[in-house]
Amino acid sequence: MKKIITVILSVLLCCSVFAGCSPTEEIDTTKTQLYIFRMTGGDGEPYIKNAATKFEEKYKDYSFEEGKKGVQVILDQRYVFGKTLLQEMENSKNEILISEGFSLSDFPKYCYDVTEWIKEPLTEFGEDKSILDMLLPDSQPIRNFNGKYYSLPMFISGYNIVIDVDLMERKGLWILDGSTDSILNLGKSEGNTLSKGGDNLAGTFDDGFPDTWAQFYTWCDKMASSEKNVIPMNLSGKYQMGVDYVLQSFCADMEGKDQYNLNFSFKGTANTIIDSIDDNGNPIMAGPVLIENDPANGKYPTTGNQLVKQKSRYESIKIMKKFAEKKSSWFTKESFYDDQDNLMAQNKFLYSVYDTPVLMHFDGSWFESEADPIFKDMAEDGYGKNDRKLQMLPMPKADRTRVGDKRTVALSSGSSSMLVNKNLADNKKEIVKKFYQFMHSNEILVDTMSLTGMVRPFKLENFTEKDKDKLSHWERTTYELVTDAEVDIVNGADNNLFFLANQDNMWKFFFTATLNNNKDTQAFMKHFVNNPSATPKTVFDAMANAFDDNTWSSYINKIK
Amino acid sequence: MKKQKTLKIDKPNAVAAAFGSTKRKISGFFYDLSVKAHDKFSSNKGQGIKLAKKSVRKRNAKIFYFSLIALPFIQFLIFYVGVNINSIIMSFQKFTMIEIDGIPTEILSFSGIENYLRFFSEFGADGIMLTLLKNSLFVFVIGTFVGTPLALFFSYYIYKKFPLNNFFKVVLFIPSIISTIVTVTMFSFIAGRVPVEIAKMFGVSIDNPMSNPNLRLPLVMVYNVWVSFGTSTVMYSSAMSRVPDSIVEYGKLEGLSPFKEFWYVIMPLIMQTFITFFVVSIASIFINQANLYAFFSNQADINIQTFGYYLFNLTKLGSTMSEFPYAAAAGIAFTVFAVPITLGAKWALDKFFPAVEY
Repeated sequence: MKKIITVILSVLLCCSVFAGCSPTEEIDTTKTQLYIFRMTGGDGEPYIKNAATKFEEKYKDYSFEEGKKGVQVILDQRYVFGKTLLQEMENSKNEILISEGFSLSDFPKYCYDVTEWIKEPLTEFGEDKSILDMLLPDSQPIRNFNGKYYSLPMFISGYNIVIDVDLMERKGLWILDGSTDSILNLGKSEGNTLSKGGDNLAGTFDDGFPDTWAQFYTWCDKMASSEKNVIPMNLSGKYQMGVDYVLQSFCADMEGKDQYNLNFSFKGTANTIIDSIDDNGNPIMAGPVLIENDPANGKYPTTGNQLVKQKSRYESIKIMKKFAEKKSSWFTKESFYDDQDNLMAQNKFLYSVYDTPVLMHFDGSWFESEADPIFKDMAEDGYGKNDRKLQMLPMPKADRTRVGDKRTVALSSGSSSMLVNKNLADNKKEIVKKFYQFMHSNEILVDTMSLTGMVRPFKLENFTEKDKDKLSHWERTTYELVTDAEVDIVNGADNNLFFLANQDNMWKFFFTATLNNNKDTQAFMKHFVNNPSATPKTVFDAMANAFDDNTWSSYINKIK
Repeated sequence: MKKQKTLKIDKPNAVAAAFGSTKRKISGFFYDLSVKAHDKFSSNKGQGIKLAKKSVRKRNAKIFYFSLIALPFIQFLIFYVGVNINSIIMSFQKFTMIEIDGIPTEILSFSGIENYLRFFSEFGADGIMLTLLKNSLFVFVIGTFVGTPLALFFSYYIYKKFPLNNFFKVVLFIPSIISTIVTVTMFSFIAGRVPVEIAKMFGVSIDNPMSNPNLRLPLVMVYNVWVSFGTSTVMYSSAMSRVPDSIVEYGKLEGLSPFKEFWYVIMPLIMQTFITFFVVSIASIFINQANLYAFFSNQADINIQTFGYYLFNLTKLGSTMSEFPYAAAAGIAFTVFAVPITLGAKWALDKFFPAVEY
C-alpha cells in the first residue's frame, strides 16, 4: 500500500513539470496573425477581446500577406510590466503591448516610432481627425521626444472622491442656493435651486456640491447627524495614502496649472512658497523663488526642493488634520483598519445602500472595473453599474476668495501605455498600424471606456447620444470632465532629465515628511490619528526635512 | 482429531495485481535497456554478465554525477555568484540620466563610495536605519527567545507522545503548507476584527487592535511565531527521536522528571540542531521581512519596518532601477556586518556546546 501511495504521489509531483505550460491557441495558417500583449490588471480583458473580435470581423476578407486572408489576433495576458516587459519585448513575438509602470525615458530605446501613424487622419474608420488631434493637450508633451512619439497613453486616471449622487437625491443632501460656509440649506434637486459650486457658475457639473472646504466640513457634520443618518466618507484603511493622493488634486486646483506643473518641470518661478508658519498656524509667505532646469547649459534645479513649501500642501495638511479629528463621526470605522484593502473598502461603500449609507469613497478612477463583481451581484436589485449614479466629487476650493477660479484637476496619463515592438517585421507593419489606429477609432474608444470603467485621454470626434447610453454615469461624467474646455487637466509628469532620473522619488514629493525620526513618513491623516498632539505646522515643517539640501543634491547628481 | 485449519487465501486484489504486473513490465523494459546499453558501450562487448572495466565505470559514474548537478550548478553560478558579483560592482555605481541625440538615456556610471556614504548617513539623526535596526532586532529576539522555547516545548511534547500529540503535529504544521496570504488574512481578521465584535457584544467600543500602532508589530510577531512552529517542530522532534532509547530509559530509572529529562538529556543531545537554527536566525536579521509585505503590501508603517522589508520595497517599487545601486550597497554593508557576527556566534556556541557523538 505504501508503495502504491508513493508511486501515485511521485506521479502527481511530476505533473508539476507541466505547470509552466499554458494552452496555446492554434495558429490559423490561412490568416495573418497579430500578437498583442496585455498586462492583467484592473482594466479587465473584455475590452481587448472586444476590440480583437471586431478587428478580425472588419478585416476578415482583407489580405495582409500574400496567400492569406483575414486576421487572427493572439492575446498574451500576463502580469508583467515596466522594464521587465521592455527587455522581454526584444525577443518577443508580441507586436502591440499594453501595460504600465514604465519609465518614460525607455520608450525611444525599446519602442517603434509611431509618429506617422498617429498623425494620419482616421479616414479608414470614417473619421476626419488623427489620433494626435484627439489626444488631450496635457497628455502630449511627456510622450513627445523631439517631435517623435513612441507610445500612447492607455488610460487617464487618478485618485478621486467618488460620490453617490443617488444618495444625495434620496436624502436631500444637495446644497441649495443661499448657503454659506457655516449655514447650509440642504434639499433635493427637484423644485430647488442648487448652489453654483466652486466655479460660481449656475448650470455646470459642480452645482449643489460644496464649494469650499469649510462648507464641506459643515456638510459632513450635518450628514453625520441623526437627522440624516449618513456616513460621509469611506476609504481603504490599508491604503490611507489615498487621502494624500486625492489632496494632490486639491493642490493642483489651488495652485493652478502653471504653479502646480513646477513640481514636475522644475522650471519657472514659484510664487506660493511659505517661508514659515507662525504660532497661530498662519503662513508667512516667501518671495518668488526662481527654479532653473537646463542641464545642457549647466543650470540645475537646486532650489526645486522649495516647492515642498507650496501653500496648497499646507492647506492639504490642515484638511487631513481635520479628517483625523473627525475620524469617529465622518468615516466608517473600517477606514482605519489596516487589513481593509481597496476591494473590501469598495464592498463596504457599494453595499452600504442596504444599511447605513455611505456618501463618499476615496479610490482610484479604476474602482468601477475592480468592483465589477459587486455591481453584477447588485444588478438584480437595481444597483448595477449602469443603474447607479456615481461621479467624481468636484474638488472644493481652499476658501471663499477662490470660488470662481478656473478648475484644475490632477489626472495622470503617464503610466499606462500602448506600445509597438521596435523589432516589428516589415511585413507586419500594415496590420499593426491598422490595429493601432483601430483602437483609437470612435467606436472602440467608447467600447473601451464602457468595458473598463476608465477613460482614455482622447476627445472623441463624435460623442453621440448612443455613445453616452453605453457608458455608466461614472464613465460619462469622468469623460466630460477631462474633455471640458473650462477645466485644466494636469498630468503630474514631465520628460525633462531631472524628473525622468528621479521618477521613483517624485511620487512622494507631495506628502512625505521626516516625523518621529523617520524620513519617509507618509499618509499624514494616519499620522494625525496616531499622534493626536501633532499639528499641521509640525508636519509641514517636517516635509522640508524629507527633501533637505543633501537629499536634493543626490537627486541632482543623477543628471550631472 | 484436531480440526485442520484451512489456510485462507485472500482473493487477489485486481487493481493491485494489474498495478504489480504493469510495474514489473516497466521495470523489466528499463532493465533490458540498461543491459543493452551496457553491452553496446562497455569495453566488454557481448559479455553482458561481465563487469565493465573500472575506468569505464568511473567515467560513467562521473558523467552521471556531472549531468545531475550541471543544471543546479549553472543556476548557482548565474543566480548566486553572478548576481552577487553584479551587486558588488553596482554598489559603486549610480544611474545617471543624460541626453544622447536629444533622447534621455539612463546609463550606469562609477560613483565611488557615494552609496555607502548615503547608507551610513541613514543611521544618523532623521535616518530610518535606527528604526529598522530596532525592529529587526525585536523580530530576532522574539523569534529566538519566545518562538524557540515554545517550539522546543511542542517538539518535546510530540516526541514524548503525550495526549493529542498527533493533533498538535498536524495543527502546528498546517500554516507551513497553506498559502501565506490566506493565513495572514485569517490572522488579521482574528486578531483585528474579532476582538472588536466581541467587545461590541458587551456594549464596549474598541479600536481594531491591528490598527493600533503600539500593537501592530507585536501582533505581527505573534503570527510569525505561530507559523514558525511547523518547520522547527519537525526538525527538533526528529532530532529528539534520534536520541538513543537506552539513555532515556536510564534517565527514567534514575527517576528523572520529564523536565529534567528534557534539560539534562534531550537538550544536550540536540544542541547541534538548536545551534544551526540559532546561527541561521542571526544571519537572517538583515533580510527577515517578518511577513510584513503579506500583511501591509508596500504600505507598512515606517515604525514597524525591518531591514528585509525596506530593501525589498526599494527594489520592488518604481519603474526605474535608480535605487538599485543604493540597495546593492546596503546589502553589501549588511553582509559585512552579518558575516563576523554569524561566524562568531557559531564559533562561540561550538566552543561552549561541542558536538556530541551518539
